[in-house]
Amino acid sequence: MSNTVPILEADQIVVKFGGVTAVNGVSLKLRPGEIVGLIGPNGAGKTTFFNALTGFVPKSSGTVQLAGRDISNTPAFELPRLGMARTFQVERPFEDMTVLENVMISSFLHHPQTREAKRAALEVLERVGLTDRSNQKCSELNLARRRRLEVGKALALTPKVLFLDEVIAGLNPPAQAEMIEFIRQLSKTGIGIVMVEHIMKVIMTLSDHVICMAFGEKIAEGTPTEITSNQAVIDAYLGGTDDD
Amino acid sequence: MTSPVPTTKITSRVHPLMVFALVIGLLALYPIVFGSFMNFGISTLLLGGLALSWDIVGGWTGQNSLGHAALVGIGAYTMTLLAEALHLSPFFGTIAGMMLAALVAWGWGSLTFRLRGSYFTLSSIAVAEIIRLIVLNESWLTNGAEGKSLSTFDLPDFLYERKPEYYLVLGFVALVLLFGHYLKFSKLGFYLKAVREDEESAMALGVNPAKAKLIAFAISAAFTALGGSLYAIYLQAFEPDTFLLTATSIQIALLAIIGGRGTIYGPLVGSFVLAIPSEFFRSQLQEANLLVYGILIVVVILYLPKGVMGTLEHWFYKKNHLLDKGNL
Repeated sequence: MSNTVPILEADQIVVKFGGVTAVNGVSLKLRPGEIVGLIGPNGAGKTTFFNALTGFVPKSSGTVQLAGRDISNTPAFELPRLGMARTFQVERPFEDMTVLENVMISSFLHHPQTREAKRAALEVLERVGLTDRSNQKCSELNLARRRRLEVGKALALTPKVLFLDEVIAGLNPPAQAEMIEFIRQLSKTGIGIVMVEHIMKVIMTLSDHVICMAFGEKIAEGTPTEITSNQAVIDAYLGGTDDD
Repeated sequence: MTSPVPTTKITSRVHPLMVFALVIGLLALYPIVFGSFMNFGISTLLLGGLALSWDIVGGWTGQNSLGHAALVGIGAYTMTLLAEALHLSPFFGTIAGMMLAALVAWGWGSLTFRLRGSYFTLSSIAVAEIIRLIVLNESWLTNGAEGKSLSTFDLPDFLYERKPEYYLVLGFVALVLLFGHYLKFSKLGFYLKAVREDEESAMALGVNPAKAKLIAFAISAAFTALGGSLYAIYLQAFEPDTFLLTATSIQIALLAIIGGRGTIYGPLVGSFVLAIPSEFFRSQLQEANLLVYGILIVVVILYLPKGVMGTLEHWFYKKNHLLDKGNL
């Protein structure tokens, strides 16, 4: 996979909140079909980095390129059209709308006609196994289904790059296994995936490449095996340097 | 992740336009049945139409404007002043008023939609108040506090008669209702609801919240101005405080909220639900009528927080949903 051109390239991203530097010069490369895992102790800046790449937090400096196009200053709502989609850590469905209507909001992006948007949304619901829930309001879904809906909404945007923010943590083991397999299949379709996850085992089984952050900086990166044996990573997790 | 039998429907079993035809058909019978209560019919329907217009931005998009009185005023004044100064027909004057209102809303929204939640609401009161003061003080244009009278113009005769006026207002209501139906099934409507529920989440799905809100506000403003223009024709004479007081804005918003926001028919239902007791109390209780009216509003808000139609919709959803579950 290393010989393909990256679909997403983030270079030296810096995010400052007032005097606090939350992310300090972190870079990332993602190729089509690749899964990059983002790990680090609480407060390491993973989510801020993630939000900076997806346009939800302004960058103080650094550039982001999506399929060769500079998106450093592109507003978040324009990124889906360019092929980027994200989920939220705390899943945020439109509670008062049905499951189908939720996904239709996404599918309207490429299908302005309601009939087409509905058809596309139903296809996505089929893929994430929510077809039988399509007319239910989101407020009635359990956690596993809400997560699947969150992923489904992102998929209905037909992204080339998908950002998954802790879609596995909190699920019960069978649901975890199901989601892991689902993500693996997704990456096989050529979608590049960046995922933040707390559960080390999940990151290690899924990722092709892992980036470990601590105190807003990248302290290590490499294959899952390289990361697990990296001394800096072990220190960050076990050395009590948690900066919460 | 497999799933069994698909049960897909976002439409109900009855075609929505049949409901529309039934409602408009029944309302069209009003002048025939209640010919001696034309004023009540026109004013209730007109307020319903204004509440429906408010709902596009207030209900569908969740931006609680308390400044819609200004847009009613813009419609009324533009039509009247153009008819007076340029002898422009009320039809074109009304269209000019709608365009001006949409333009004002666009500028107004560009400035104030950066504010969220109650701050937008507060700013809408302020903007409307500014417009009221302009109308009050720029007497060379608006005749100031003395207001305007249409009776001296050479308007088509039927505009001075109650029945044609009623049907004009009914046409206005039908137009806004049709737009509500369009919203229910169109991309724009879905986007507006998404913005109402969660702006950030909507952004992640490719929705530009600022643009969605501006479009909704401009359309809402244009319809409100159309209502304002009809209001002026109905009243024949008006002064700034007839339309432009915050009380008018509050009344419009309340009708929509009590009837059920974002439910297509809710605001119209709200207008009738409140008009009938309010009329009754006024004749029976004289001064105390506002007190009872106030209590009624509190009761509805406490026990039907989704409004009359919102509660009914929820009830139907529950019922249908239980049936669906039974099928699986």
